[in-house]
Amino acid sequence: MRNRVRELRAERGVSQAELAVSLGVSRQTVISIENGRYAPSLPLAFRIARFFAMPVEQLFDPEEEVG
Amino acid sequence: MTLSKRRRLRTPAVAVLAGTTFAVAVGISQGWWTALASEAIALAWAASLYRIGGKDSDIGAAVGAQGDERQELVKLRAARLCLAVVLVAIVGGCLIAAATKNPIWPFQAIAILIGIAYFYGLWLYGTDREEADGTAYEPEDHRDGF
Repeated sequence: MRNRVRELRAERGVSQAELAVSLGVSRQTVISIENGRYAPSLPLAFRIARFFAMPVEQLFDPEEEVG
Repeated sequence: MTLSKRRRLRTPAVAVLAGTTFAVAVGISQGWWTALASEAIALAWAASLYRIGGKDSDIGAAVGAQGDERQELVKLRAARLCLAVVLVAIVGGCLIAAATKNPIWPFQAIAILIGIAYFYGLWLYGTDREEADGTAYEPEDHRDGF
């Protein structure tokens, strides 16, 4: 599943470690989500959306699979 | 002591407990010097588990018992692989025991236990026990005869 987490994080100047702490997950999980290797659970997806203050559907694109 | 430190101690504590139990069994059958050596290995193993549990990695999170949802999934997948290897080892051990005319019942007992645990897990974590409520989905605007 493609997402805009890396792009939005870079825009806001937040490090992966800082985002991980804010979301209550590990840095490795943030890396996996950004690379599209891991599709987060609904609660985590909503936490990410709340962090970036945007709807979850603008963050994640279920139609596109990362190759 | 913080919660994370207590969690980090969980796996090493289990290792010490299992190692000590094994050392006692070894002590009874082979003498207490062998038991002491066995206990020393268990303590060293527990110490390395504690060290690994503090690392900022998936392995560290798994050993330190403090992973997030993805790391829990990684642990489940690792456990599934581990179980597959155990099953192969049981079949292999059973075949070797049968070929060398040794008792095969310990292998059978472990296989039966694993089978029971598997079906218990399906029952426990599955939703088959929950009965359907018998009502069909009806959009709100179709209710009350509309």
